[in-house]
Amino acid sequence: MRDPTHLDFINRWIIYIEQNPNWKEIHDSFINSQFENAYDLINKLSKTKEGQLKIVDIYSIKNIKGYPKLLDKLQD
Amino acid sequence: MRSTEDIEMFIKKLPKNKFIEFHNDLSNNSFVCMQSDDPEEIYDSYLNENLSVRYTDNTMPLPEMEIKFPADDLDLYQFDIKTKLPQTGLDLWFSSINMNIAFKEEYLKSQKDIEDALHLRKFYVGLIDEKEIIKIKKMIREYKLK
Repeated sequence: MRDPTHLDFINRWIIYIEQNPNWKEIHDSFINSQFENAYDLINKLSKTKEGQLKIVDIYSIKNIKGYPKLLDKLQD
Repeated sequence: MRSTEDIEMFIKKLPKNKFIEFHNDLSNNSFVCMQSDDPEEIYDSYLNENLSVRYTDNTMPLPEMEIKFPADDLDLYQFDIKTKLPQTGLDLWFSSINMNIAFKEEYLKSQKDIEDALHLRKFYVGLIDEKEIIKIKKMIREYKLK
């Protein structure tokens, strides 16, 4: 266990799920927020050629032409 | 914090012409393969070599749908014991909980994976079958760790 609080969190989350029928909505919001944060960063990176190269590197994109808008500065 | 960026998906091995249809259908619905736009290359150089490929929407590189063909009897066994998980609210086939736990504890083994397995053991306590987990771990050692 990386941190004892992780085990504590798992236990508390299980209890939360059992006691809250709407836990899926909370969980969805949490997951969606992670994607929104990532999208914000990717959109910022995509504004420059150097940023687009970082996107290609981070996600190991070989098919650059498959992303004509996101990677528009790398299409030549 | 836990992050979720990809969905790993086994599909039963398709003949090349069927895969090309599948790829074209994905392409026509704004999905793109991160490795290549050429379905023949994807099939010959990746899937047929037991390598996975990743598809995403063509405007954003995540989330990813990672696709591969089954490579051994353990992969095929996953089709036999696939399950639906009503708690997810999704009408999809999932790898069994016991399979997930066995892979996280025997194959992946990072601290995060061990914690994930513990979470699954607690959340799906009624679906846990220790004999099945032991059986799968043995298969992992035979097929994935040899």
